[in-house]
Amino acid sequence: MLRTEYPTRPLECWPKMKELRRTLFREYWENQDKGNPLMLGGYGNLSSLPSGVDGRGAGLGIYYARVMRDRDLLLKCHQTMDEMGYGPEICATLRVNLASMFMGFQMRSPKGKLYKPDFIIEFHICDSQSKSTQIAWEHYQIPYFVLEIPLFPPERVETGKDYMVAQMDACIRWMEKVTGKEYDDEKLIKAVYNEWDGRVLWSRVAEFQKATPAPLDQKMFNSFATLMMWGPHQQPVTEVLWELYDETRQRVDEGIAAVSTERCRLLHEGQPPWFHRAFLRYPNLYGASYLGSAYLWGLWGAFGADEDGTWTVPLTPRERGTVLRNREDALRSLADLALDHSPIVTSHMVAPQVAATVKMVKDWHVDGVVLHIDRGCKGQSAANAETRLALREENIPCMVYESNNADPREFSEAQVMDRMDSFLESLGVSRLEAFSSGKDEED
Amino acid sequence: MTGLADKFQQTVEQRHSYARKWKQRTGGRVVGYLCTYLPEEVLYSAGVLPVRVMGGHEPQDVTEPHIAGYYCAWCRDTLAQGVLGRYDYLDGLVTAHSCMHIRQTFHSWVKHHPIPYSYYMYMPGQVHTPQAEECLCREIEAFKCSMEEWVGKDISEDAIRDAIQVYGKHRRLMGELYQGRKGAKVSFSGAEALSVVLSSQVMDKGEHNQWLEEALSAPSSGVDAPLRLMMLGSVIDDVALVELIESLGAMVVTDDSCTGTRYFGDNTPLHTDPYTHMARFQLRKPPCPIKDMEERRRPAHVLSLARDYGVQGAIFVQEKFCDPHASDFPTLRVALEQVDIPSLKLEVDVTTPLGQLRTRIEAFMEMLQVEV
Repeated sequence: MLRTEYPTRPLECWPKMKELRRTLFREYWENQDKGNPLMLGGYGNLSSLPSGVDGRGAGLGIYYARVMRDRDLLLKCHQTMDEMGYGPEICATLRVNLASMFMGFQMRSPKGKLYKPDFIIEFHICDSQSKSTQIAWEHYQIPYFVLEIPLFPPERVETGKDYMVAQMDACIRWMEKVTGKEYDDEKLIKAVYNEWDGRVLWSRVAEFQKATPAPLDQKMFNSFATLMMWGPHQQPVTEVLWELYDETRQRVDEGIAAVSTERCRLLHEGQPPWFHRAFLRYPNLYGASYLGSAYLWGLWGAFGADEDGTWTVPLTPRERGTVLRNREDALRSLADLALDHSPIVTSHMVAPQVAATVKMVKDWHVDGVVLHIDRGCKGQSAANAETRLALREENIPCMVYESNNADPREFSEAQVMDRMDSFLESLGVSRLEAFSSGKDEED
Repeated sequence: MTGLADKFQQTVEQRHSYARKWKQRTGGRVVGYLCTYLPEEVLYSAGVLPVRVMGGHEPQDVTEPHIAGYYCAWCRDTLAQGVLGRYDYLDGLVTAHSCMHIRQTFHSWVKHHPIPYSYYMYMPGQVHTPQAEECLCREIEAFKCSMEEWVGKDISEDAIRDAIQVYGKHRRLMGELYQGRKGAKVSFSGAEALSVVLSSQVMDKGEHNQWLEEALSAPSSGVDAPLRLMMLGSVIDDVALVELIESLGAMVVTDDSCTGTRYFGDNTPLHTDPYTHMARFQLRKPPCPIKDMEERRRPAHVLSLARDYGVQGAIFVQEKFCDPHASDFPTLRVALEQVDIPSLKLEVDVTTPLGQLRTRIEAFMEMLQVEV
């Protein structure tokens, strides 16, 4: 029997998001042909910075999602890295991205043209990521700059901000030198306003997930996350995020659910197994839904914390009436964003990450947490063991599975799903005979 | 230095007893540290004994709830020492920012085994930049202020300068000890040198300097090194492994490890301002992979060591699941191959399977002997 409790419908801004993703992908390949730099590194963090020289980047793996959908190619990527001596200790995502470079398709456009990137900028939060771009630098022999985003406790964070501002200033001078272009501070300032807007919007949409029923689910967020990786500093990205924000608010007002049968709310902490497309929808079979995660919302969002640890969304510079008059103001604002309001930065410290996850569970009315002990991403799963202990102390149900976000050889589907079945049953929900998710969209 | 070697080695083996006796004798406090990027001079100037926390190399089952099994074996082993109470004499635990693995050890230890004092000092990664120097100077000053508050007394500039002098002397003496391993006749074996470095990380540096001076002044004609090897890795603290290698007819003449040359660096006078001096030492010493970003400095440094010490083969000692060292391995292996230095990679866990490793080392040495 179909058990529908809440109305549901697809997101109306979905086609626009898809179209923008296609546009950004196309523009990436056209950037160098237009005389602008093509860069590697970044993954969307501090994406405003290269905008002063019209630089465009997309991390190291523009074809990452494509590889995740092709098991044979994915395995060949890992095999390539094994043969070159890069062991399985190294981040699995980055192994795939580096393999795409060694195998020669990383910088080949869909039209077949092979590009050589102009430079690499790595925003160093994750050590593995930064070591990977070093390998890319050796491969391409192009200019390379690492900008460190330091991990400081709140009481000494000003030292960290000064360090960041000094580095960003040096990075700008370096970009001018390696591109021969004069850096445009006006473009930077505009980008910084946008980056703040985009990241705050992401957080506000995440806040809507506190509602019952949740208006979105984690897989829907993942699809929009691609825009964040291209860079929230871009006006078209913030425009789509505004639409997502307005529409999600409307869904909350009208009680529109992502999962019509929602009766159990979950968080999934750590990266999911990206190669398994149905993984994040599996709980739907039980009327359960992944709302999101501290990882996903913290990676792209801007949050702060109240004294009791409650996740709070800061006002943007525009909302605060802060005028960014010059480069220094813009860089200082980026440092504030990175070190005061970026959970992805503090997530690399175990204690704050554990506390933040526990608080999120309470504030988002979560029934259970699934923790991925992810051999493929040591950085984002580092706190998960301690998080399990903390959740247990609070009598919050959680489940642990050990796998690898980007290597299917380490994912035992039968075992993981079997464990999911048991976990969901322990939460008091049983398998539905049929369900309606309201998500007919392709991701 | 047979007698002295025993003394250094015994101190390593009885490091907990040494620290307890030091505490009893001086009435001072003992602080454990997890990473060698920490400016120990600050602790020393406060009258505190800095003790590097080391693993036990014994099977353990206590860290799994805190750190998953696919994180660095050393970090799990050091956390186990804390969880098992082996360091119950510590008054504090501090670390400098390095890798994510050791951060887990620090946080789990502090959370589950509360200790009167704990401190996390930021150590920049972009060590070659002027911005990093400014940042680290401020961090060292902040650490000093925190230490003053904890010990309840001001740390005078004279005390800091004295500590810098003691540590500078130590680095000079360690340089001399390693100098004696460069020639055809090697004054100190790899196992002896390792014991000296390890003991220096758990002993009062002033006392260690005295022992070192004694060791260096003892007459030694040195011994021939039939095969000259270098060891590379993160934390090579297993003297038994080095003894095994040397028992098979080779001599470990140098290393790139934070229990070796990366610890004491060189002793170039760096700056008259004490904070700048301490910062520069940490920033300019041979980097570990985490501090070797942008253009690599490690291959050039490793090749320079290999040339200076006449190295004929290299052994990589890879802590299982250490991703920074795993990232550097292919580049370093190729760099060594280009100057005709073959290498062997050994993966080690909390416990070291000496029997299995023996077979692999023997095979490697047979190959080297054919080539030599």
